[in-house]
Amino acid sequence: MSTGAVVARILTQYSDKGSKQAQKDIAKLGKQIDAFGKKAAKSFKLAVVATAALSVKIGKDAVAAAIEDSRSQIVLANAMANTTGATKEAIAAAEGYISKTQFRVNVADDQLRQSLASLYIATGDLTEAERLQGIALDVSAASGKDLFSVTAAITKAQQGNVTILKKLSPELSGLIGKTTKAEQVFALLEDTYGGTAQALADTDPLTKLKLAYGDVLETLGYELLPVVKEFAKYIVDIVVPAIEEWLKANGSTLRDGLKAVIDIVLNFTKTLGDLAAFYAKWEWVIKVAFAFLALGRALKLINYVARPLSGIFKALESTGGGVAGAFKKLGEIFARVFLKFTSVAGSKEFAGIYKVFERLAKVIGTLAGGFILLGTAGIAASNGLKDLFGIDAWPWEKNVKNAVDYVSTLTEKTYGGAAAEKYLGEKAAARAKRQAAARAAAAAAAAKEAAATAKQAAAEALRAKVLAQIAKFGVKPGTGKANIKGVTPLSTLDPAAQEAIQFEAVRLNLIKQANIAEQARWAAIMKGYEALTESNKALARYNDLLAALADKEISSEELTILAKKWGMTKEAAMSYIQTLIAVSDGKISDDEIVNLAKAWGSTKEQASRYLDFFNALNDGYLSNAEIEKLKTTWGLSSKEVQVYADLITKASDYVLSDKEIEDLKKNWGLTTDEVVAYIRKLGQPVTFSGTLIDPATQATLGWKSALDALLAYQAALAGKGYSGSSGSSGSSNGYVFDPAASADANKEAADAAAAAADAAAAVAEANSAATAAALAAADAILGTNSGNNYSGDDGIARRAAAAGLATKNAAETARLAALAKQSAQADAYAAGMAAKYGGFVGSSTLNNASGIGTSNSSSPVVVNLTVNGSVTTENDLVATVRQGLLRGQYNGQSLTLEAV
Amino acid sequence: MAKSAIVLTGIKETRKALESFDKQALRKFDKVINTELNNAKKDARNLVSGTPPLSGWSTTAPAKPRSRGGAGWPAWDQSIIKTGIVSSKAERKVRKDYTTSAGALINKSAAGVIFELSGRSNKGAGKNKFISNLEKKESQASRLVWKVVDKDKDKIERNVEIALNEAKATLQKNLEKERA
Repeated sequence: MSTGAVVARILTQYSDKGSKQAQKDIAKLGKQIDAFGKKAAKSFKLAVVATAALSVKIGKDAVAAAIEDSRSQIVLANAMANTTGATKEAIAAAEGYISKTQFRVNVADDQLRQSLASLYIATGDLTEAERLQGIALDVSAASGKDLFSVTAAITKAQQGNVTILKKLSPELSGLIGKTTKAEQVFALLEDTYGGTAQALADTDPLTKLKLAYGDVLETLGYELLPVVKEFAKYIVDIVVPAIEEWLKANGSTLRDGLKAVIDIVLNFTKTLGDLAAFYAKWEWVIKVAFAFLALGRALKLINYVARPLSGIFKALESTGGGVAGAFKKLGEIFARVFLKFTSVAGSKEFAGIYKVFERLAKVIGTLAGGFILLGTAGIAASNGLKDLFGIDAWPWEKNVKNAVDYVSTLTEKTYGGAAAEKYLGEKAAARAKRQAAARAAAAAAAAKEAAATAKQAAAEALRAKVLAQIAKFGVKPGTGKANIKGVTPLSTLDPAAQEAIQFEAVRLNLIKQANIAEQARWAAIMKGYEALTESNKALARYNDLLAALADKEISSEELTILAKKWGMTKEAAMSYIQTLIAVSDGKISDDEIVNLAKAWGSTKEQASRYLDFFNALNDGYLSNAEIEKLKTTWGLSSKEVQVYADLITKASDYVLSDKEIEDLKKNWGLTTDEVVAYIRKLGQPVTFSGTLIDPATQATLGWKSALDALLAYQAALAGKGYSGSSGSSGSSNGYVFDPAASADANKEAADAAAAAADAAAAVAEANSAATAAALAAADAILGTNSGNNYSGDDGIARRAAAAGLATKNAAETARLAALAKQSAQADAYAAGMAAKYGGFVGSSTLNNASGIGTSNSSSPVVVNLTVNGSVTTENDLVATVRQGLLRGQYNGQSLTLEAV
Repeated sequence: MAKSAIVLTGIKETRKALESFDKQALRKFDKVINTELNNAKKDARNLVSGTPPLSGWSTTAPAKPRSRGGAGWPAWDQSIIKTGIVSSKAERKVRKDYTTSAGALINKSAAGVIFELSGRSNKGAGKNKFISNLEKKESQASRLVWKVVDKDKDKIERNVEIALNEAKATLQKNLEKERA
């Protein structure tokens, strides 16, 4: 793959490679830690050793410095005390001066003490000694001479030998004469070199540091000195006597040990002596052995050499004739002799003889040599054994008693008395120690085994725990390595072969998956809870409805109360009741669908779909079978079915809150617009209680639904299908209008419209008649009727009478037309109400609730009446009722039960 | 990018075992995976237009098309970008969660990768005209293979999971039969 390619993973699978790698990494890490531990331990040991060595070195230097320092202190203190009887305070003051001066002039305190002691002895005054030492320090620093020499010179000068200062400072020698006094020279020296020592010291911090370190060493040494003293005391008082005692106690052992070594040497010497005697005694055998072995080798050599020599001499013989002078004949003879000899010696016959002799000589030589070797080994072994047993001779050489005595004596010598007891004690202690070590080793082994067992048990427990956890996820680990045709069964979780880490990896993976499953489970639980809540609500509503129907009718007041209780509008409550009753028998008739569609202003398909869903959700649960059925019936996907179901459940109170919309969005991954589209497709009138869907959208939604319904109606009128204005594709979501199915629904509307048109026509006719009457009246008055000759008084009277009649007729016609209009309106209203509210409104007394909603707007309203009294025929009954209704209408009463 | 994924277990083992027992079932299973991946690949390839997404994007190959960078690189060539989009069933590096790929779409060509990813890390584009124009004209980043994966991953996973479960069931039947 080229660099930088984009890889979009679609399928993800589990791999145990990672866990194996993790295992390797852990093992590697363990090794690295071990190696680091070893290295660290080694380094630590080295550091400890180095530190210890350095400590020893520092300690040694410190103690040495302390000893040196204390020595110089003692010298000074003794000088002061012995010469002038200086007090401790004076000595301490001198020490203080030394301490200050050494860092001022960079001179070690022991040198200062030595110098000061000399000057103090000479002057007997510490102040004077300090002054002179100052001069000495300056001169020493300036001249480069050591302080001790300068101090000695000044001391001598102070005692009268001033000339010695000439050597100290040759450049001043001219100023120093025989009469010059020491003080004059000192003053001169002070003037010349004063402050030199301090000035130079200030330029040399390293020396100052060295002095400081020396002081630290001395301080440390003073601290260590008691320890060293104690150690020395321990060595002297404890160790040395112990060594002496040990030497005393083991002196004999050491001595005997030394003697044993000497004995070994002596015995070896004796062995050598014995061997020499043996060889001397059997010298001839040795000679025979060597002679025959040499003979065998010689014969073999002759056999090897004779043939080539024969060739050489043959060559000499042929060329011998060519040799000039006196040697010619001799050469020939010499060559012939040797040729003869070598020819014979190199012949095949002789070769066999050589071999026989060679073998014989070899056998003899080997036998002789073996004898000598056996003898040597025997002497060595004999002497070795004697040495081992500490005897001088074998029993056959001396008697046994002597040997036993010797051994006893030796034992007593070595281990007698207190030493023997000590030896036995040591032996017993060593034995006890060995036994204790053996017991400790056994205990350690037992502990190790117990730890291993515990570790194994812990591992088993962990494995069992992990397996149990895995089992919780419904995974069954394999039970063995049962290979079939070389294939391991599906599960790779073979407890006998897998490591705990692999199980852990699988477990973690399962947990990861289980978390997803757990979330899904929780979501399902919550969804179920919500469904249960809705179901409970539905049940409560159903109970309310039953209570309201206790008197087999629902009054307007009851409907208002129910709507209020259910948190719906009155229309929504009526729709809900209608829907509930439609699905109460488990069957959904066309009438029920049409009624709902009319009530909602939706298409028949929407109403039918809604009722199907409502029916399926009636038990509060949508089973897989129901989902499949709905999918098949409405050509929806599973998701769409569930979205519809969820939406219907949430909108069962005809109100959608923001939370419900958010839940829908979250549950099904929808946007707000998509939720709105679903609501629109559902066709159910829904109000929005929140802010997610703004009023404009709500209005748009309502208008679009109305437009869809109108367009569907128009399409029905035109005999064409209408697929809705939603624009969504696919039959599952679109408004596919079914002309045949909607024909019934629209026939009623058409009938009502026709009735209204008739009424309008009647009104128009009435108006026309009235107009004609008015015109006739006018004609009568004006006598201008062209169709009739109403001239004269008679004519005018007849015209007036005709006009009055016409007016009367027109008025009667108008009244009849108005009645017809009222009748048509009443019919349309009744049909609409029947369509809207099913069989509730208009029913008088209901025999049972099952009769509710069975009316069809396209068929006459069926009214079940209980008639007190008797009627002759059905026609009489119908006529009676009709008359009653018409009377009521004439009287301007509304159509109520009481009117009948 | 897809937020979650179904982790399939036992693909390799099932395939290996099916080779011994039921090659037809194996072919069926492979066909499902191949079909899904090929469909995804086709979908991704169909997203590559013949004309460059932006008018300034060169369509003529640069002088050295094999070297990265330089004027005119990479040229917009529909065929190269399309052939650069391939599907793969190769196992890739195992992640820390012990998962690896069992099927993926790969966008290999330089122009394809640029078109796919431009603006992905530089959200909002800032002053980058190329990204802002591309986002205006096309869409946000993840424009080819990732777009298809985001769209179809759930479906593909579900189908392969069903096929895998069927294959496992078939195998289990065979194993039980053999054991009996």
